[in-house]
This record gives sequence, C-alpha cells and structure tokens, in this order.
Amino acid sequence: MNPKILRLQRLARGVAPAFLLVAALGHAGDAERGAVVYYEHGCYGCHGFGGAGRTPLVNGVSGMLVSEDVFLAFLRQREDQNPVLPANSMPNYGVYALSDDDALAVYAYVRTLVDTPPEIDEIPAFLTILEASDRAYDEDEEHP
Amino acid sequence: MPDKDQQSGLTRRAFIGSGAGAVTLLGGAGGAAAEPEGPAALAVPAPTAAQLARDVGEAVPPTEIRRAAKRPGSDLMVQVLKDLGIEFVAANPASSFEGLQESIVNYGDPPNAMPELITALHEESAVDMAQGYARSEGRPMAVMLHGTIGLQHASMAIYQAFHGMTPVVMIVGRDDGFFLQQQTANDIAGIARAFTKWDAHPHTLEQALLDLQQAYNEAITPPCGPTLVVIDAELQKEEAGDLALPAYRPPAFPVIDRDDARAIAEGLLRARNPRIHVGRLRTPEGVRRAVELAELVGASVRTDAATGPMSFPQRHPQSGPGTGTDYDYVLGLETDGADASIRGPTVRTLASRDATGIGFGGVREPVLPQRTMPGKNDLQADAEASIPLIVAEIMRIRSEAEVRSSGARIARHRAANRAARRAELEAALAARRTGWNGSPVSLARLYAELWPLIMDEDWCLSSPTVFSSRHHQVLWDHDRPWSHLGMHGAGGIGYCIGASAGAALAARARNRIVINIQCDGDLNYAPGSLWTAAHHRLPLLTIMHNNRGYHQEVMYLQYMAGVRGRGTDRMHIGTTLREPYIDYARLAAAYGMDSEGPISDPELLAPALERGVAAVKAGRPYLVDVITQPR
Repeated sequence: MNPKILRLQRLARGVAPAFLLVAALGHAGDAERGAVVYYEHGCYGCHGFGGAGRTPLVNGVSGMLVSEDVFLAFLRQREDQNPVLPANSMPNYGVYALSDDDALAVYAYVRTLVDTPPEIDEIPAFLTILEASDRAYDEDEEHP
Repeated sequence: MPDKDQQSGLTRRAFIGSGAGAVTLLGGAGGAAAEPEGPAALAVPAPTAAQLARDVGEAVPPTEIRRAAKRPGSDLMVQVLKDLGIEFVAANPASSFEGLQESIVNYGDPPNAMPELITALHEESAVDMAQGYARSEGRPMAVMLHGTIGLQHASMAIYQAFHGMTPVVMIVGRDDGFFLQQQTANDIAGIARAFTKWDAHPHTLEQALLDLQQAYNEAITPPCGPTLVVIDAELQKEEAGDLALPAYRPPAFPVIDRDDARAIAEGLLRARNPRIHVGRLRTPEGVRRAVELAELVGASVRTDAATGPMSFPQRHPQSGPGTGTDYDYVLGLETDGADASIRGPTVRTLASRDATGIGFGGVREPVLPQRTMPGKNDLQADAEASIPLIVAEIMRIRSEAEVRSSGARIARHRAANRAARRAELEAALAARRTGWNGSPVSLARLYAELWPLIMDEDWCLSSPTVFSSRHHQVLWDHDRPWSHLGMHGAGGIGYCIGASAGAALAARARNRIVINIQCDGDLNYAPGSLWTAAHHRLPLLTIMHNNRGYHQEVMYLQYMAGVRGRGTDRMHIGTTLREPYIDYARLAAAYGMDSEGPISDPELLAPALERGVAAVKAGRPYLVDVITQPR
C-alpha cells in the first residue's frame, strides 16, 4: 500500500477518537443510556458489540449518522412495511417501539464508538496471507 | 428381575474380582483411606490393554472353528461392502442388525477393517457422518439403522443428503420377531421413500447381496443420493452354504453423444476467449478431468470451489476472470454455460418417489431461479463422465496453431488472474481490519488467524459457513476437491459436528486435517459426535462460533417486531442461549476431547488455534471455544 496513504490513515486513527468524543458530547441523547438500549434491542446483532460488526457503525461511517434528524427518520421510515418473507435487514423502529429519547440516546452512544484497528502491515496473519498469495500455484502438487 | 449387574453387562463375580469391586467393598466397610477417585471409578473396570487392542482390530481368530453358524449371510453382506470399497459403517447399536454388526467386527482378516464400525451416538449423527465422508471423497460410506425408530431418528439427515445429492448407503435392520412390534413395519422404507433415491427389501440372501450392490450404484449415479436396503434379521443370520457372491457390475453414467462432444470441442478450440464454468462434479477424478480440459484449450475458469466440494482449484492459474470478460464460448460443467451446459439429472427427476404426494422441497416454484432448471443449451448428462469424450474430440481435431494459441492464452490468464487475486485480497484485508482488536472476537479475525496455520497442510473445511460470514472464500485458497464441503443440503441445523466427524474419518488415513467452524446452536442438537471423534481419534479441529444464540432467528424476529411496531427488546426470548451460558470446552472435555476456552480476548486466539492445529496434526481432536461477534 502507498506509504503516504498509510501515514494519513495512521494520523486519522489518532485523531478520530477525540473527534468522535467531542461530537458525542454535542448531542442531546444520553450515551450511557444509549449503550443499554443498544444492547437490549439487539443492535449488536448486525452492528456488533462495540459497533464493529458486519454492518459497522464505528467512526461515524454510516450515512445514517450524519445528524440526529436523519437517524430518527431512518429508524421510522419503514412503518408501512409488512413483508411475507423473513428478512434480516434493518428493522423499523416506530415511536411506540423506541421513544425519541431512547433513539437519541442510541445515536449519542453510537457516535462514541471508535475503532482503531491496526494497519494491514501491522497484522502478522495478513502479511502471511499476502505473502502466500504471491506463491505460484504448484502444478506439480497433487490437486487432487 | 435380572440382577442389576447382569443388566449392565458385568457379572457379579467379575465385578468382585475387579479392582473397582474391591474398592467398593472397602468403601462399604467404612475404610476412609479407600476413597475412590470418583464415581466413574466405582462403576466398571477400565478396559484392559488386550481389550483395547482387540477394539482396534488386533484380534486373532480361533484356528479351529466350532459353531452352529458356519457361514452366516451377514458375512457375505460384509464381503460385498468390502468389495465395494466401503471404508466405514456408522451405527448406533441395535438388535435388528446384530448379525450384520457381529460380522463387521469379527469377519475378515483383519476384522473390523474395510469397513470399520464407527460408533455413532445418534442415528442422525451417523447419516451426517456419511454425508461429510461422501462430500469429501465423492463416494459413499454405509450406515446401519434400527427399524422404524432408527430410521425416523435419521430421517432429517437423510432428507438433507437427498437435497444435497450426497451418496449414502443405508441398511435398515428389520426384525418382525422382536418383542416391540412398534419398531418394525411391513414397509419400513416407506417412512423415508419420498426423500431417498432408491430402496429395496429383499426376501432372499442372494437378492440382499445384489441389492447392496445396486444401492451403491444408485447412490453414486446422478442424481447422487441416499439409498436404502431393508434387511431382515433372519437373512443376516441365515446359513449361506455355498452361495457365491454375485459379480459386481459398475453403473453406466449418462454421457453426451459424439456430435455434442464434437460441437463443444470446436466451440472451445475456435473461440478467441473460451470460458469454462465448473460447478460440483461427482468425484476428485472429475476435478482432475476438468483441469485437463481447461489446460488443453487454455480457457479461463469460473469455479465453485469456495462454496462447495468437487470443483476447479480456486488458485489454479486459469481460475479467475482471465484477460477479459468478452468470452465468446462458455461451457458449463454441472452449472450454467451460455453456449452449452452439461448437467446430470437432479433430485427433481425423482418426483415419482414421493408416493404420498407430500411434495418435499417442491411444494411451490422456487423463489429464486434454480440452476437445476434445464435451459435450451442444457445437455442432460453427467459432466464428469462426458469430459473424456470432449477431450478425445479436441485431441482429434485441434491444429498446431490452436495448440500454440491456447498456450499463449494460459500465460496471459496466469498474469491477469494473479493481478486480480492480489487486488481482491488487498481490498478484502483492508475491510477485515474493522473490529480486529474488538471483543468478542471478530469472525474475520478468526478466519484470518487460522489460515496461516493450515495453508501448508492438506485441509478440509467441513462446516457450512453461511452463519460465520464466509470469510474463507476470499482469504483462503480452495485448491483441493475437498477444500470446502459447502452447505448442508436442506439447511437443517445440527449437521456440522456429525458431518465433520465423517470428513475426519476420510481424513484420518490420508494425512489430512479437518476444520469445523461450529455454530453453537447447531452443536446442541447432537453433540455426541464429539465423543465419536475422540473415540476414533479423528483429526478434527472444532472452533466454536459461539455467539450464544440462534442469531439468524434473532434478526428475523427483530425485523418482524419492527414492521409490527412492537419493539425489539424481547427478541432474545427463545432465540438466545444465555442464563446460563453453555461452556463448550467443558462439554468437549466431558466427551473426552481436548479443549480450551471460552476465548473472548482476541490476543489469545492465535495461540489457541496453534495448539488446536498441533493437536489434530498429531491425530487428536480438539475444540476451541471462541466467543464471537454475532456475524
């Protein structure tokens, strides 16, 4: 990977937590309460414990986290759906299921979620995988 | 009432004469110093060294035989299995096949070898083992089931084998004289007829031997699937006299005709950028043939090797998009192809088996387009058996110029596919950094940490990975026919540990190791296969994807509650495994398997996996319990 990009990524990793913490402080919701709601409603199912699941929320990456209003609208927007087939996509959260206060608490909580993973070249397993991919397919080996 | 010790199979005299008996007596007299080590020490004596040696086949048959039954019919049945190359028979013991079981463990030199009796703790596990074995070897092992009840225990796994087109040979013992008439029936096979490929209930010993051969042939011909022979207890015990074994006739596989073979050969040779799509072939030999064909014409190849068994090696230089996607001739081998698809018949051709009209698996038209639906370019034939005909035509008609151009194409494909692979891998690794240091452990990290530990081994990933996000598909290299055994045929849960034990049976004698990424919910259906793996010393590494719930159902319920506007904060009810958490390391230990965990600190993961790989390479099954992100 380009060393310049790597340096920029590392710089961003250092800055991101502080930025997100400041961002969270500016929200109306109670982040501590939001952590409880996040767990009780099973948000971790798709978004992971700590927000780094299959559909990550960490580092404010989701477009639905741009503002509290957008987040609320996203939660409420699918109230008129009643699908026949089972679905595991994002559930709807009507106001009777999740109050505005709880929703904003979740918003405040997820905006505090930060992930600072190591770079590719800092993960030994990744380096081994990349190195192995350079090995030629051994045509003398039995396959099968 | 029989004596309690007699019921347990241990006579009172033998018990008192054993060390365990002595301890018990001393304890009963109040001798505190004679306190046994634990309850198990009181129950029965441990097997002797001589007994353990006999268990693994080191038995010396008596030189002079005096017995009522000189040549029991079941000895001939076992000889038929031997001649068919059946390596294993999995069974949970039962009276209706006692004659056959006695022959397996005592007949032959050495006894209990080819086939070896594998102790299953549940009939469903026995059939799951047969599925894992067949999907990695491309041929069946056998299963014995007890009458109506054993067959019903096994039925879900049979159903799964049917839809997974997995060859399994089943023998159902039938004993009309048994005191429990509920365990027999006039037509036992009828219980599972709608989801087996073929069945028989012979009434003579000679016919039983023929039917066993036929069951094998039907299982391995497309559509491959489970077959069943009901064998009466009387036939197993019948004196065979001088009855000769019937000669075995191998099955004929449906192949394309010569005109089609020639048209395909011309299409591949004359194309500027030929392409071959390879689905799931029947056996490793089919894979070898597909490689030969692709290399002969210099085609780029699309493979299913990362999603299931018996497909083209994923990292073969010709596997990938190739130099360009302007393919001007596309051949499908057991999958779709724009210009020709050679596909064997599927289970849809077995509709007449569903005599009750239940419509298993076909009650409505599929929601998604099925690859099994024939199209205008479909040739209904077995691809594996047809490839040699195409190769022969190519060798007959190709010109020197075509030989040179195919060689040049291979060189171009090699470079293009390597570049594509590198780009794909870098993007995949970048995406999989997310949550790397998080706890619970990310599934991407689990797959990534495991791969360097096994990449230089002959390995088999036995478990379906749909619930663990399939990170292996892009991170690992699936280059052998058994690299990944794919999905369970009908999505039925409870399959993984049994199928993995079966794959490990195949692996044990082949210096191969088996990896089972085991969902926690799945393991709890029939965990007894952990004991089977420990007992038979199978090279099986089980890594728990322990998200402490039936997570797919959590998400379904969340969505359902969402559309009804009633909240998702009670969706853990009936879908999660908490209060109490299940300790899988201790569960494995209880079955005699080395284990460790639960591990939720990602820094502890790699060393644990390393210990697990070392154990299975030494021939000991091992379980690592990992607390994981839900997906």
